[in-house]
Amino acid sequence: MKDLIMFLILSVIAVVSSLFVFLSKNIFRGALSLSLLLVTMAMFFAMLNAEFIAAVQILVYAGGVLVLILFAIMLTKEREPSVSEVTTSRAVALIAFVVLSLFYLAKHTWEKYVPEKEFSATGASVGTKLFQTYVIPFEAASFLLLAAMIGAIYLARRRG
Amino acid sequence: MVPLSSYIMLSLILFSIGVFGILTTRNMIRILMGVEILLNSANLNFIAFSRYMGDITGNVFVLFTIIIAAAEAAVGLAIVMMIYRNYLTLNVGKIKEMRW
Amino acid sequence: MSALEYAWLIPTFPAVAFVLITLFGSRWGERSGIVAVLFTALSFILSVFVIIEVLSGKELTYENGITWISKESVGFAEEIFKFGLLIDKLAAVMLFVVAFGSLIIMIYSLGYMHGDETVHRYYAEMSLFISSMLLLVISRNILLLFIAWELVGLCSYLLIGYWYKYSTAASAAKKAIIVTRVADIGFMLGLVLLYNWLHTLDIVEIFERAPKELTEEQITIVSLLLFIGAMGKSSQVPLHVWLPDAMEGPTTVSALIHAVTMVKAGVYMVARMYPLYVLSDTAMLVVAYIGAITAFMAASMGLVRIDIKRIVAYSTMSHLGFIALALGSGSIAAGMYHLINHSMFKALLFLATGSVLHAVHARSIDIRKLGGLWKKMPITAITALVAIVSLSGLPPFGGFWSKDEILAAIKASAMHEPAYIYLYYLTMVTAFLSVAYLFRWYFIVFLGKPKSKEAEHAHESPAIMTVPLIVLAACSFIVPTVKLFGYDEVVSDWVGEYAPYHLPHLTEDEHEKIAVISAIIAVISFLTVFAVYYLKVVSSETIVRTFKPIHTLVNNKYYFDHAYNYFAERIVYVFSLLLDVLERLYDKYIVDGIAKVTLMFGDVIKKLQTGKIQDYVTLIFLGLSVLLIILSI
Repeated sequence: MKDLIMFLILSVIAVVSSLFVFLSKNIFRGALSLSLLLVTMAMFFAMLNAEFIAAVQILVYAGGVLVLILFAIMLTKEREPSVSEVTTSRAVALIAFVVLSLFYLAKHTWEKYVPEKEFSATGASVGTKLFQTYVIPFEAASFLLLAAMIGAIYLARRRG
Repeated sequence: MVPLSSYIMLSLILFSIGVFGILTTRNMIRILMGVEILLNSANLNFIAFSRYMGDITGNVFVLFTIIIAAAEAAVGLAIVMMIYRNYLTLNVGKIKEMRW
Repeated sequence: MSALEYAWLIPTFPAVAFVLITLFGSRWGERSGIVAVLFTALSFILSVFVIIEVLSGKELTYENGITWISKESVGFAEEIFKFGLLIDKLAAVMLFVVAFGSLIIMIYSLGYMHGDETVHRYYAEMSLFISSMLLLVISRNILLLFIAWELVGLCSYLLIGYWYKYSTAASAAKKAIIVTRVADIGFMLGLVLLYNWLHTLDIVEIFERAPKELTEEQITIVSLLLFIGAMGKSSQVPLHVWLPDAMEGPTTVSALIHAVTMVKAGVYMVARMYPLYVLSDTAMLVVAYIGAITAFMAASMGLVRIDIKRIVAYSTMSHLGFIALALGSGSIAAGMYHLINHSMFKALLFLATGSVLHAVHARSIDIRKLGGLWKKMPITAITALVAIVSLSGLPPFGGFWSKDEILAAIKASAMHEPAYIYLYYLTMVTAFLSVAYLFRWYFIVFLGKPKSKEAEHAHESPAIMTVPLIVLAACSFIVPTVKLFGYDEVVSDWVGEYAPYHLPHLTEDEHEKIAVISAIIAVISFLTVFAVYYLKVVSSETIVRTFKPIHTLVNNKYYFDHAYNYFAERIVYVFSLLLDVLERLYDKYIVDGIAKVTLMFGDVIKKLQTGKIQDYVTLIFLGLSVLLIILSI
């Protein structure tokens, strides 16, 4: 029961904050709203016993990505107000996607999945999995980060 | 305990909001923020299934998603800065040189 | 530590030189020649160690392999390709000859190519040429041999066309590669059949299994197909037409091609595969006949040419004929012995020719413009004389002994197979001619009076060119003594390990008789030439007039070039006109049609590229919707 209330409250916060990202007049407020969403997601992760991922979510998203976005906002000036433009084809695409997803969800039964009591994704268990089964993807990911870093520096560099 | 379908539902709602935002806004930075929302809703699915199926792999995958999201944000924002420097606008409607 | 373990370095050194000069040659300029010489010298030194070790008999063969394609690596290949080296006495001696000849020619090049603008390209290509020939000599797998074989062909193309600004050089290069390519089709077919029947391309394994597992017809077919490849490379009739034209390259290139690399590759391949050849009498007879005909035709053509280098080229062709004849007559020892002899003398003769051309500043020259160089270039004249006396087979030089061996082999073969006896007489005639054309060349070029301004102003070449000449001339006296080391028995024994093989043997009496006859013929021939070109008893014009029809035939090179041109211009051309019409139709309707349809589609689809991100996102989600429909059904 406690879980359900918690879930409902967090859900409402998540939906509202994600809507506010796009509906706010000021983009700075949108970014702050995004940070609220990210923290809410971390809470969801914690609720689902994924402590390590929750911590990473806060560190990387709230600490890293969001700071980047705020910097980008501060370095640029949004001259024209962002006007929504909705064309028929876009609306059709979105509605078709939502309807079909619901249809797909309804077709399957999800009740057979029951959470295990002792499940806990701590840093130790995630790390064991990561370094035993997924060592090569892990190394590849570190290489990807390096490439992204070099690429970002190259792109953002001012050319004489 | 909350049933798994409610997590899937929430994830779908967040995803739809993200798509809606990307389709309607013209601001490049907002589009990037929308992409972050999409990634997060997918992550929520991963974590929920990981918990409900008792398989830690879902957690590991989320870690990879976060890494990729960080890389994407870094490169994406660098591109945004680049475009802003050259066109002095963030309006994607105005940047349409890459067309037939 | 054994030098044989490092034998793989022998072809590697010049290859390294090739890479280095290709990368840095334009910066080094003429100094790249020194790099090339150094690396060739390393190969030579190593090959000396190898030959000492092999001839001491401690270790007869060294076999080591790299598995290139194994069952595990591809999964579907039934068999295994193993690339390795095979250095027995045959290969070791050939290795030594090639490395030595190459080294001398490279040193000589330092002087001869001095002042050429793109000389680094020359040294890079020469290094690759030497490297691929060395690899060819020691490879244990015929496929590896074929790879090296093709590399040799490529390098000959590059070097014959080295002065590509002259259209004659460019077309000579094309001619060389096209003719040898035609021949290589035969070689490749031979390889394919061999692999199909034996499922191996390992030379030793072929020798061991061929006698048991193949019928005589199969062996005949394979060995003749391989011999077609050798005919192209070693310029046997009727695939000889490229060799005289190949004289368009620098003289050092001709020396390398003729003395140690390109043309020797063909006959060496036959010697390498000899245990296969001796199993088929038909193949042996064909090889012998083609060799004898080549030797005769080339000698007769050499008698009427007037270009200084082409005469030497025909001499090479004639001697390659002798080598093939020796191999076909069942004496690999005589063949290899003549090959080694010929390598030394021909390198010497070509370098001497190069020295003459260097003195008169020409790429090649009409011999009638020369004369009287005896006094102006004494070293060149004497060394050229040594080469000529040896080549023409005057006693007591090496050429005489090897020619004698060949004649003895033919005579001995004739005892089993009567068809060989005609070759015996033909070879006698050829022996007469080969003395004649070489001395004609020598008398006109070096004796008499200078007949042009260039010849009057000629002077001796620098030491960097004359020293190699002297070294080679000295070797011409040493080489005949390899017989004393029992080289011929060793080579024959090697063949005997795999195949029922008996060295043709004659009684002492008969052997002596042959030696005396061939010596008499040589001396008569020499005296005839001496009478015509030195004493001028009869003028050469009178002889030409007397034998007008024969002279016309020979002077037109037996109409081989005419026949090929006729074939290309009339038959191939008409056929290609027909194909041309077909191709134009195909082009117009099918190729252009596909292009037009593609363009039409493109015009429609390109509208999707609006340049707006949201439109692309829309497309993605429409696609996702389709996916969801498929998943839901």
